[in-house]
Amino acid sequence: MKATLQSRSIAICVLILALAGCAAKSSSTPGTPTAPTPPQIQVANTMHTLVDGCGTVLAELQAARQSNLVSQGTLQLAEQKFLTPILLLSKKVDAILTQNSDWTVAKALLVTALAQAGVQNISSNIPPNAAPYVATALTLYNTIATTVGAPTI
Amino acid sequence: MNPALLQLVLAGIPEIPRLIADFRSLFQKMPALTPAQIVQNVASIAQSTDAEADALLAKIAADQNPAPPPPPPHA
Repeated sequence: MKATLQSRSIAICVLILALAGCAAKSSSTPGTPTAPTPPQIQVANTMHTLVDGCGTVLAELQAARQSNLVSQGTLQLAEQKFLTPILLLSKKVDAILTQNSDWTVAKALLVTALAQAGVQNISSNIPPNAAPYVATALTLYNTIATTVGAPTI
Repeated sequence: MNPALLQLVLAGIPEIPRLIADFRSLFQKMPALTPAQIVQNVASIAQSTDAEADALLAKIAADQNPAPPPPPPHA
């Protein structure tokens, strides 16, 4: 009687373990395809990261100014020639993306917006000692340019 | 079994899981976003980006026109 009970409880344990194993396996099935992120969302996300990056660049430049690592002129020049055009571009990009659900239309407008933003000559406009602060932001800008098929910097 | 054939079969064994996955993926629909969902997602991201950009532009404007230093107190 005791032996039967024991063997029955062992069998139940084995069954529970087997079911748990199956559940774990089926919940993490490899190879299940996921839909690619639509380009509109990719650009919107990258633009958001770029604006975040501009915030970091501004904070770093302001800190560098406080520590006299860069002059007030350099700070203002970086703000005028790089940060402001990028931030204004971000607002334009957002407006295009929210007003045009069709990617083909949005893409053409984005290429024009990027070309008109005046950031193509950014490298020559940025003072050399401010260049390291904007390097990451440039990379993000180029990610957006590549996604929409516009020239990179 | 022909040794060459056996070798071929053995070489193919590691590929089996991938082949099964490929086969299954043919029958599984990709859960793509609808146009309405895309618009909604983009609008939500754009809204927070705009707010952040506006805040940064305000900070820059303050840097470009720094407040004059306070006048020295009269003795």
